[in-house]
Amino acid sequence: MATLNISSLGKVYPGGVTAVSDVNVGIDDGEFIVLVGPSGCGKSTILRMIAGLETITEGELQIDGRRVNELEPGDRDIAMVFQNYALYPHMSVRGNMEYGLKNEGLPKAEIAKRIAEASRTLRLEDYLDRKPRQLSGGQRQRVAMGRAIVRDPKVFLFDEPLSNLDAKLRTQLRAELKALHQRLGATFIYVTHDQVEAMSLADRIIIMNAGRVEQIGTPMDLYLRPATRFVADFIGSPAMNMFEGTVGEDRQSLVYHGAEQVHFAAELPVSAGQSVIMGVRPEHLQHAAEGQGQMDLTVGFLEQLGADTVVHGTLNGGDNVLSIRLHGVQTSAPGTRLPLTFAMENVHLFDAQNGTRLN
Amino acid sequence: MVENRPFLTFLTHAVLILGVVFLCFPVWMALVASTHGPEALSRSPIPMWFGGQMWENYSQLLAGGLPEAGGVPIGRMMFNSLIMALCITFGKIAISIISAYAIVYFRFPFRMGFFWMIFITLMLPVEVRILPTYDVVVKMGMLNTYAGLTVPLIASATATFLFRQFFLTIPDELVEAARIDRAGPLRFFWDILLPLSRTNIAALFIILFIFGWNQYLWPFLITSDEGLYTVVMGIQRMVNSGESLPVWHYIMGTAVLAMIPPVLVVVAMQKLFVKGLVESEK
Ligand SMILES: Nc1ncnc2c1ncn2[C@@H]1O[C@H](COP(=O)(O)OP(=O)(O)OP(=O)(O)O)[C@@H](O)[C@H]1O
Ligand SMILES: [Mg+2]
Repeated sequence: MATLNISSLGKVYPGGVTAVSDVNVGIDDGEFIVLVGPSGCGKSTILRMIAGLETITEGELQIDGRRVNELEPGDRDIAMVFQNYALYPHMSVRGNMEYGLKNEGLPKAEIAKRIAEASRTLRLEDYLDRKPRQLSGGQRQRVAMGRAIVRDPKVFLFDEPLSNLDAKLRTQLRAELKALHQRLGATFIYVTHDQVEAMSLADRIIIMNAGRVEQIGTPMDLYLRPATRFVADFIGSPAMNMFEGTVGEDRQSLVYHGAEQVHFAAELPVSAGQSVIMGVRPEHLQHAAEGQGQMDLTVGFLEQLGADTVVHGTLNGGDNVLSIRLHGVQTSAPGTRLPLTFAMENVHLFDAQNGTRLN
Repeated sequence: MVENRPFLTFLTHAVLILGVVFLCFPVWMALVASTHGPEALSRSPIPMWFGGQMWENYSQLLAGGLPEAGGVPIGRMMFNSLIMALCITFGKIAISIISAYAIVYFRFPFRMGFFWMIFITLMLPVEVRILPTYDVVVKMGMLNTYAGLTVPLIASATATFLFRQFFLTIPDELVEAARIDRAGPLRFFWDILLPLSRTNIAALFIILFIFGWNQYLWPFLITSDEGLYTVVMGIQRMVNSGESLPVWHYIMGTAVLAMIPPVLVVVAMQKLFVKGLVESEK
């Protein structure tokens, strides 16, 4: 259990590639932090810098108030779970779990106790004498977690541990991971590019783009008040609808190609004529009575999900794509116009130039 | 592509059987010849079936002084060959696995320079560098010693290269997991790299043992002391024993005996070797 302090952390790889720059975050004891972002944004690099597998080229990392930049991975009191498990292929499950403890010089009885406990938690008791190649993917990943647990580290690091598994197993292990975190009360830092995983696991999410932090906040912060256009686009499925345009004279409309596209129920907190991006989530749009609509959806095709129906189409038949999520089974012929309304608090406004939030 | 035509089946089998016969015939001849007396072998149709002198020939070979062969007992020569082959095999494996470890896992200055230097020596087999090497051995006073017999043959670019290629296929994550598990460089080598290289080592062991066992030119140059003669040299000396006729029944017997240790090594190692080919552990 530990606190982490990351200040102006940066990584320049030999050859001049800046993979990460200026990351600042304080992580509390027992927090579950998820690092999320598109491929190549530097998530693994940050995690590996925390682990000590990659040298820190800028800034400082403190664990429990102590600078650890120069410490070897084995001396940082961390444990890491890798995407492709990285189990020692020639050692049994037990061997894999006890290797680190043996190197630490723990007494035999203590090692046996910890392994018994971890294998009970992870339901691995029956496999202790098997080799990794005799296990399924899910079991292997549990062994990798077991190897981390037995070390009783201050910080657990996970680099996309579930992405090699199929969807069902992923959901199952996700729940196990969450339970594990609650039981151990340790600090978890978890990398994924899957926003659903991030939303369901995290106490706080760090969302990254091109080596920079876009926003740090609870899943609900990110969902309800995304700080940038990038975050708004990344979090949520189906993705948020975004329309570019200028604010009309009355500051209650969005004008695009000289025509009013969206009408707002109240004045926008921006000046008339400003270029903005307006965002609204598919699930925050409702079907309105004829003549009451604030914008119109021209139906393209339907996606029936059972509990919900996602209607894809365009805004007023133009070239802006628009989708809405309606409850239950709905039908609508392609080409129909659906008038839509939305509540003012669900409107997100971003600067068209730099993507920062305006409301 | 597998076709089920009787004629093709027949043809492929015929070709295979022919190949086997072709390969085994000399071995058969050696076996047969080693069971006859000297006269039978110098007559025209040389015998194709076992004679009755097997016991006499082999007991003479193993126990007797064998003046026809320069008086060195076969046992002594076999022992020398064994020492030489084992020293070369273990030496080569040890040196090359350590060099490959250094080249793959450590960032030291001129790392690639060293790698290419080792690689270039691939083009310089013993025969090419034999004079300078001989000179060095003489100056170091290693003539007529086991060290002189083995040390110059131990450096191996081929084995270094093979281990390097193998190490490069080991995922980085495994190395990183070991670092997190507090395994230092020596522990990592001993606990992880070495066990993972097991099958590679077994394969190399077979190849290198046979290479060492069959050395002829180098021991021939380095040893003048009869107590250090190897069995391959012994065979050659028996054939060229000057005035008298070659004693073919003894020569063939020696050849058969000289074949046994490499065969044993292959048989002993092949299980590991085949296992390594069949199960992929990564
Ligand atoms: N050893 C390296 N040398 C140079 N550049 C590197 C190195 N490792 C990573 N990079 C670069 O750093 C950037 C961030 O890489 P990183 O592995 O952290 O991405 P990631 O967010 O984990 O992506 P993914 O989701 O695909 O795993 C990438 O642009 C990558 O090309
Ligand atoms: Mg990554």
